[in-house]
Amino acid sequence: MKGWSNLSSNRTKLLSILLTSCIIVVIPWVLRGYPTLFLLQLAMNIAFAQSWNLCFSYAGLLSLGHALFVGIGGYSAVAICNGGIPIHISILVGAFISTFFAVVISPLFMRLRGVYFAIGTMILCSSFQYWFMHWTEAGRALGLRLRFYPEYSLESCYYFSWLVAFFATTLSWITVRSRLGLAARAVRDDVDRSEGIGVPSLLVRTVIFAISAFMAGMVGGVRVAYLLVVDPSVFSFELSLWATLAVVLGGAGTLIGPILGGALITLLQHVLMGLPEISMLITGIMLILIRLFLPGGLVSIIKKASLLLGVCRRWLLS
Amino acid sequence: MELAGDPMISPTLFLQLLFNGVLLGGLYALLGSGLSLCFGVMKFFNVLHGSLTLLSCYFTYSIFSLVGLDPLLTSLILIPAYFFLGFFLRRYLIGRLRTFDDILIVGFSLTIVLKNIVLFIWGARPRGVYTSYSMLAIGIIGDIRVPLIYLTCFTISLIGLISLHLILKKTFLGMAIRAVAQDPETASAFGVNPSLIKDLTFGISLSFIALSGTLMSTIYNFDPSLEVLFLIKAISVVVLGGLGSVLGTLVGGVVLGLAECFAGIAGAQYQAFVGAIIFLIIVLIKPKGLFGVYAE
Repeated sequence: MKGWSNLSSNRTKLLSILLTSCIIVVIPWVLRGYPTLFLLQLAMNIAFAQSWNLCFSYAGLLSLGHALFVGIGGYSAVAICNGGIPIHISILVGAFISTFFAVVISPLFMRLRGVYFAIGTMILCSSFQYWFMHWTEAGRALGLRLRFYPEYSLESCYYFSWLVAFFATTLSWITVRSRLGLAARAVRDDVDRSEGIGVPSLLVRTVIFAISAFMAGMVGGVRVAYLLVVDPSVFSFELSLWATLAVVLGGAGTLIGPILGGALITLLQHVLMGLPEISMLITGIMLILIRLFLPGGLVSIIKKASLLLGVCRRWLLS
Repeated sequence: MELAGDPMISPTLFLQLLFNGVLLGGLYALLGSGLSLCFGVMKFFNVLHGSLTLLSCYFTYSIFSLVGLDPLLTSLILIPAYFFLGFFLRRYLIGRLRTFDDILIVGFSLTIVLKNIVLFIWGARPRGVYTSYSMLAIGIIGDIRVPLIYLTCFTISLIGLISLHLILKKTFLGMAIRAVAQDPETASAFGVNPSLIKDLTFGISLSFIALSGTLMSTIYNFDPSLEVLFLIKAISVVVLGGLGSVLGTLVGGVVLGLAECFAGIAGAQYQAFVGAIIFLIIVLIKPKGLFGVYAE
């Protein structure tokens, strides 16, 4: 966002946010069916990318099993909703269960550094996939279906998923700008030194991890609300990797990056929908190329472009 | 689960599991040795380990079903091929990555690329390599019978591990590798090119992957989802055995093999868990792993 400040004032920023919100609200009435579904998935990708970005860019936690929280959120939402609770409340409770789980595993996992954290989360997530695959109460490989859900409509899911996306972005924004965000960045840069100046690194990372898990749990709930079913493939490694791609593509360490990246990967997913192998192949190759040649993501291009634009404008005016 | 109905394990079953576990453990040690070498010398966690093993399985399958070449002879082709693959992969891609995040993200992207190449070429159907001797078994003591293929794989794994040990301890290359593992800068002051040594180490590591993949293909039915399992197995072996010695890797492999075989009593679905649980427990007790370095 910093790079944009020389181009746009706070008022134009606010105006553009309002305009976007209006467009988002109006779209399901104008474009029915497929475009609504597309934008719904876009919102979910944004929310998931924000969740991963908060963990990775601001607390330095490279989680490769973030789908774990989506899965837990999804499974709990279905289980609670089938008990007769309204879906929106179930999603919220599911997200809280996901958060609780993150807090429970934190004391153990936050001790892991670097590669062990990444591998540990990945292994935990795939263990959960095997577990749910063989757990009879969770429906084994078929998963759970939403049984009690009379008010289902694509539009309501659409609004709810955008609500989650806005919520995730705002929560990230607040977190990053708070004292907590500052402490998290200090811990990310050097754990030992930040401990030395009195930052409780375990607590800070746990809280960030929990907030991130809350967002991911919400995403899991919304996913269930429009798919009506949750199965063990929700824990798949590919799902975690989509978030990674969105953030790396858009630009890690910014708030606009995950939004851009989430939009782009949704486009990618839909364009390549008919060819699942090719789509993941392209995803992988893109990640490598971006990481090698464009480490700042798309945001860095936009920043450069806006700088260039500013220079041109000044040159024209003078 | 139904099998678990009988809580008593007869001595025959116990011994049978013991033999199977040890024999399988030798193979797991071979699988882990590549990762251990790679992490010990290059400080590079090769997340491609699982998918490259799987790819080697599929190559063996294709060569076996198209040409009819024996899987054990196929390894003679795959080992040099993998060596050069590793050499060039390290030199032109992995060597360029600087930060740890880059390495992990690019590594896992390559995993996805390899997995989908496998899916694209061979499909998701499980495959297996069935040779004329796949079904043979030889009796050892009393009722205990061991599949011939397990015994062969164990022997070859042992040969592989011993040769790795000899390479590291007796040759000039091994000395250079150990020097780079200890301190790359000092090694370069003595005329060793650390970058080249790392390229070669990665090549050696990959040729061990090729061998273990070939052997795995004769024992397991494999499908594209197995890559994560292979990776977890290799990591568990490394975490159990440490990086210090080839013997440690062998011990780690045997422990994992035994644990898997005995978990099979409770139900086949728990076997996949064992590696993951071992990894989690050990890493949670010792957050930095039980790692040493290839020093001495």
